Amino acid sequence: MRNRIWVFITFFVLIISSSSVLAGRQWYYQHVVDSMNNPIGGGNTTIGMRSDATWPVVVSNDGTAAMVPGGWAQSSGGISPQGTLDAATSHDGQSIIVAGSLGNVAVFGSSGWSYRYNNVASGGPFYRQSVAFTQNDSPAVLYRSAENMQVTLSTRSGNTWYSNSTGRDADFFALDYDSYNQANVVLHQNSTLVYGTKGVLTGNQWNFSEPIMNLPPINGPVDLQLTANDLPYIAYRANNLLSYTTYDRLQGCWTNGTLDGMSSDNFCMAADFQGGIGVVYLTDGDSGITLGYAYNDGSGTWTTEHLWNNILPLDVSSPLSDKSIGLTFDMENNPVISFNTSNGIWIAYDPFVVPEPATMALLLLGGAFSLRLRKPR
Amino acid sequence: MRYVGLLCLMGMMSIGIPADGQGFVRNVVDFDKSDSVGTDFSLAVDGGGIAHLVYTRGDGSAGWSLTHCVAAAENYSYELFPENPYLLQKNPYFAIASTGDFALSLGLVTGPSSVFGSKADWYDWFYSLLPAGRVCAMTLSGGGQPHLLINNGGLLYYVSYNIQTGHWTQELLDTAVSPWPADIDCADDGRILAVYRRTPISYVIAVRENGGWASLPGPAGRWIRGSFLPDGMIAVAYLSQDNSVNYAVYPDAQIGWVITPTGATAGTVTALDHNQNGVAGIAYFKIEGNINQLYYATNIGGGWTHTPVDSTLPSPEHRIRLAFDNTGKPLLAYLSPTSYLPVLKLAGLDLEPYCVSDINHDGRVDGGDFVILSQNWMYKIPSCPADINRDRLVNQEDLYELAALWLWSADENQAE
Repeated sequence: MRNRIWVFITFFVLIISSSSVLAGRQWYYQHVVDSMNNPIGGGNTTIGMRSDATWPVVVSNDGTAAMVPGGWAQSSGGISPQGTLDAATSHDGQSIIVAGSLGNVAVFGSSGWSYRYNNVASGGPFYRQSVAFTQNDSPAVLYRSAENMQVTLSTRSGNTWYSNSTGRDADFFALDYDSYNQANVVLHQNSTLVYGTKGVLTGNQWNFSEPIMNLPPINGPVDLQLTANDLPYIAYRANNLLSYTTYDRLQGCWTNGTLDGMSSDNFCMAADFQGGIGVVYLTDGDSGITLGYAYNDGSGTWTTEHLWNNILPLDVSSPLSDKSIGLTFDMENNPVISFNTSNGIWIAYDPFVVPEPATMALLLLGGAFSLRLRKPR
Repeated sequence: MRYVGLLCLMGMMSIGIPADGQGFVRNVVDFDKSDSVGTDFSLAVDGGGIAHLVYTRGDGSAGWSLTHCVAAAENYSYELFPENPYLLQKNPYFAIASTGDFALSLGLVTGPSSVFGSKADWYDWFYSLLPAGRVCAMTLSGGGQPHLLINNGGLLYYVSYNIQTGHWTQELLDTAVSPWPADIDCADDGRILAVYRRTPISYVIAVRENGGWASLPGPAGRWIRGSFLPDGMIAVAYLSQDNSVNYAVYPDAQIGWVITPTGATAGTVTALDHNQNGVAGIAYFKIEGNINQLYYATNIGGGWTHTPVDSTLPSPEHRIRLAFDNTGKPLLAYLSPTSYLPVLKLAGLDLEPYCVSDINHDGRVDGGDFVILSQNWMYKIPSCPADINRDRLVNQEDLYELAALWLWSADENQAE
């Protein structure tokens, strides 16, 4: 009898241990509301993490809300970046930088809004600014200068922003930093992508590649994230497909892939603290507009899922061309997504992995088998 | 004519604070003739090493107010907590996260309920109702995640906040638990330590690991206080059967408790904590004749040293708050009576001498302070230095506080 129980325990452990292969995510949804249960914020939204990447902060065109024990606290005296938003969380999980496409940049940490930098650019809603933290956790903004209409990088050092033009114009662009603390940028220029770096390995000069070849025609914004070993992943939309391209170091060329056939220009990329890369996006499929999430742990393999919540009406109301969703990760590398609905801002939080239904069925079968064995004779 | 009453009252109250500290500077943080200041208080230290005290003032008839004192060198600043939806609050537990966020739990005077408040520079206090019961211990782990012990009619709950679901969660930890203040601490690896007293009297040392609680067989003793060392080892201070103050660490189950007598005997052990270097600090009371002497013991340098802190304590069972500044030096907050009414004190090594009634900051409560008070008599100036009780009116209430601490001297409260 005891041996049979051990057989079941072994069976159980094997099933559980295989759950990483068979597992899906259990998403939790939270409404961003004040103490009177009224929605906080609206319009374009993005998200970052503070306090050791423990607590989410949602920034929207209408204000900022910080999750605290018991609910959401609204900012006092902060600014609300306007236009489409981009946010990044510092490597130490303490600070967040947010930029709006209408020219506002704000950086805040545990002691509050530390910088307010207005009128960085006035390029308009089609010129999304991109933000990142350097390896030293200094804030950086890539934007289209209102003066010469060229894509420009500004980094903060001490109390001063230092700007440097890439010398190129582009409709869309994105920024990230590699382990050498070099700025890596991708520019969407004349339906092609151009990749550039600037830092110690380029003599501190901009070094742009030839246009990335073998790509379908690009027709929307781009985003960029680097893995822990500096491998770039670029997300873009081409032929109405949400796609990516990455550099194959063995072959010495860029390789492409599709993340989702149902997609929109409304997507956002972020890296977790172990070098994995996530992409959140709005999908426009048969079941209406909902959220999609793709994740690559750095190995190159993407898993994609559509979030669907049976509890609340996920009426994603933002125009598909906006950037009304945000993605960040907590210190345990759980993704946190912010999105705008007709009922205000919500976040989707993925706290743990649960076995797939098929796995659960196997577990139940094992349990029933064990109970049958234990019946008195 | 208006000064006659003041002079008479002053003459009646030529009271000094006994000074018997050896190394500790004992500062008078606040005083309230309603006899309620500091009966409920909490102490925390921010990242800059500055002590913050949160305590109640007032009385039951007029309601209690909550004061936040930032004890920065000789310039102590005070602020009243803004009114919140949960008025008449007592029993504060205050903590500061490593990132600077403030956390506060309060027991509601009406009913067995508590609230939790959170604040950073860029948002105001946000309060939410905790699960039913009274908070008896609170701490913050990395990132400012709160962990509380809540006693609800003898049922002890461990309460934390689930960020993913956005709800407070509670786990029943034990039954038949005394309302005696408990200890809770967090290790860097996520373990939680809870030390509390059951009814009838017995002490429990419980550790939460991998989602479950387990009790450790504790050392034989009473007045057990517990804390993690910086390396995650569990440590306790307690009174042994022969009233010795012992310190014990628990490396693992195989080795069990490693007990070190500190060499002192005492009446009670009231606080245990460790600084960032792992040096232990123990606050305990020694009952010498009719005097309750507060001592501080530490094991710096390998041996134990015992330093008297104050001899004017109301009760050996009174609460002592112990914390360390960012240089590893101890700070103790406690209630200490004058000949009339208790005052809230902050004692520490190398503190700048301070007394709330020392209006001119010359290190002595004397005629110079009285002159300033007289010159501002009945003034309603915000932040007037003579407005000792900070009620925005210089009147007899301030005179009372001046007189009660008359002849307080920094020299008598400095380290020798």
